[in-house]
Amino acid sequence: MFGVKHNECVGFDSRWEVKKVYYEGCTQTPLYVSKNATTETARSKEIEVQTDPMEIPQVPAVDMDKLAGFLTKIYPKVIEELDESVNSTAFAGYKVQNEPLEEASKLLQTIEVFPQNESTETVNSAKISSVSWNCSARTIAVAMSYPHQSWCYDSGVILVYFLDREERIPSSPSRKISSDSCITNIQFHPLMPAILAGSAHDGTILIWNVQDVNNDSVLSKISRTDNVSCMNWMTLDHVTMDIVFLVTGCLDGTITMWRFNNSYTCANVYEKYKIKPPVMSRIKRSKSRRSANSVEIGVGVTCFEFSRHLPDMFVVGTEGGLVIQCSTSKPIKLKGGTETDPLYDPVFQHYDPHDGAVVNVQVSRTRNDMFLTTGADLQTRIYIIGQEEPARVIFFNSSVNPHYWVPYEKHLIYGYGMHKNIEVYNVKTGKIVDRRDIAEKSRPLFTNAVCEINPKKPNIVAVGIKEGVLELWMISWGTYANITD
Amino acid sequence: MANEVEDTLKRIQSHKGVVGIIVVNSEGIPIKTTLDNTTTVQYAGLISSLSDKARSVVRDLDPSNDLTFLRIRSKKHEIMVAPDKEFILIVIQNPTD
Repeated sequence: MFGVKHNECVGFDSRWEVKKVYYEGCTQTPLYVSKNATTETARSKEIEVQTDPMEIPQVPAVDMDKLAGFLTKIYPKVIEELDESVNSTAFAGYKVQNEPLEEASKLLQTIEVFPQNESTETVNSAKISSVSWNCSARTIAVAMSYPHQSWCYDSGVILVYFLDREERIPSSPSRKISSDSCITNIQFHPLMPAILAGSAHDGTILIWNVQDVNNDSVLSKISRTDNVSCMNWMTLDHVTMDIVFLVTGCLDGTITMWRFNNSYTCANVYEKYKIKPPVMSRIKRSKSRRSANSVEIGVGVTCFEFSRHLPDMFVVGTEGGLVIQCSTSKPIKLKGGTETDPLYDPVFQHYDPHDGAVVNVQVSRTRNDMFLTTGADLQTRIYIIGQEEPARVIFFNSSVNPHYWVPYEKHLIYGYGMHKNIEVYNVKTGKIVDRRDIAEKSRPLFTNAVCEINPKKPNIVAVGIKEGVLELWMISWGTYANITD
Repeated sequence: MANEVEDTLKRIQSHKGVVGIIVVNSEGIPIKTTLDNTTTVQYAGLISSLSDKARSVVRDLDPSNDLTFLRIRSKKHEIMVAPDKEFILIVIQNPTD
């Protein structure tokens, strides 16, 4: 508690006042400038885009008064000229000098069409099933298929050729489209050159864009269980071509009209028809057949075509040989359809049937009351609308190649013949027009071929021969027409 | 006036052998037709240029002359062309019918 530590005392002098020294300094800080500005984190801009541009029809302004005056003034003169033309005999019997018949048909090109990268055995069995030109007439597609007994395990191939500048088919295809099953039919769209429709052996209906090289180019795929045997595009109005339908015929006797959206990615059933088995007594069968009642008449649709003159009329050929005129205007509603997808019976009139499946039906391009059918009974028949019996039957020895109307000619039909040439027949006489060089040709060959006329150049015909050969012919139809006169 | 135009066209159309009628304006654009769209456009373009050429031929031969009527006879049809200052009337006739 008590220590021994001693602190020494320190003294200092006392002073009255102490002068302090001050230093004053000022510092100028940098000038601070503030500015108010608004900032938008994300810039937005409004742009309106109309996906479907409105097409304003360009109707030229017409002064009706002037037009009426012009027509009134010119009418008597026109009628006078028309009368003179009708009554004139100045050109009676006059014929233009024709080109030699030897040059009437010329084989321009032959291409062996085989799927590439396939085995030899597979290649040898490949057949051309269908050929189609597009509407620009610059592209041709060839569908390949393989023979099947029942199921199809092969992949289908479509070879697309873009014609070169000399309008020749290149040796190798420009595009190759594959599918899961063999392609049995292909048809290019009548207005859109890149749209190709096809039906596969498994019943699938496919739409491709052949110009789309990046993707697999399938725009839409309609899966069906029925085997699609034939297909074609059609329109209800051939003048405006407003709405184009895809029509498919099946072996179950149904014909379906498909309507697509603008991008062809979605399809809906527009109308569905069913060919009913006919009443036997109404159908005449040839005497060579057994009793009609014992014969089962197949109504599976093998071919059909809509009339270009009467859009509501179409002619159907069936696997049982039936030839049926149908109408879309007043079909009878059938049982079996649904509320949303009703089923109709379009049958209007039956015609004298073939004794075998009907291979091809084509309505005349020049006459609205005539059509032809080619049957597996080796007959090509010419029918007049409303007349059950055929107006002309042309018999063939062995070829079942389909026949077609010659463009712009009323009385000529053509088809690929057994002598590897295009044969033209006169339906008035029922005889071949030109037989002069048959003897020089090699012996007849049994071949199946499909012909497709170039839509822009009717004298160019592509022939797809089943054995995998694509031929391009130039035919001067007028020469044949003059021979028949 | 529109009715008068239609009546005149109908009268010509009903004449024996007449397949179709097209009225083209001075620019070669079809303004009246009884044919389908594709055929009309094709006929209008080709016949109006032929008519212009024929008119210039007639005038080159004789500057005081002018083309009044043009008839083209082919194997299948006879095309009658009636040119005017503002319109061209094209009548396609099938004399064999």
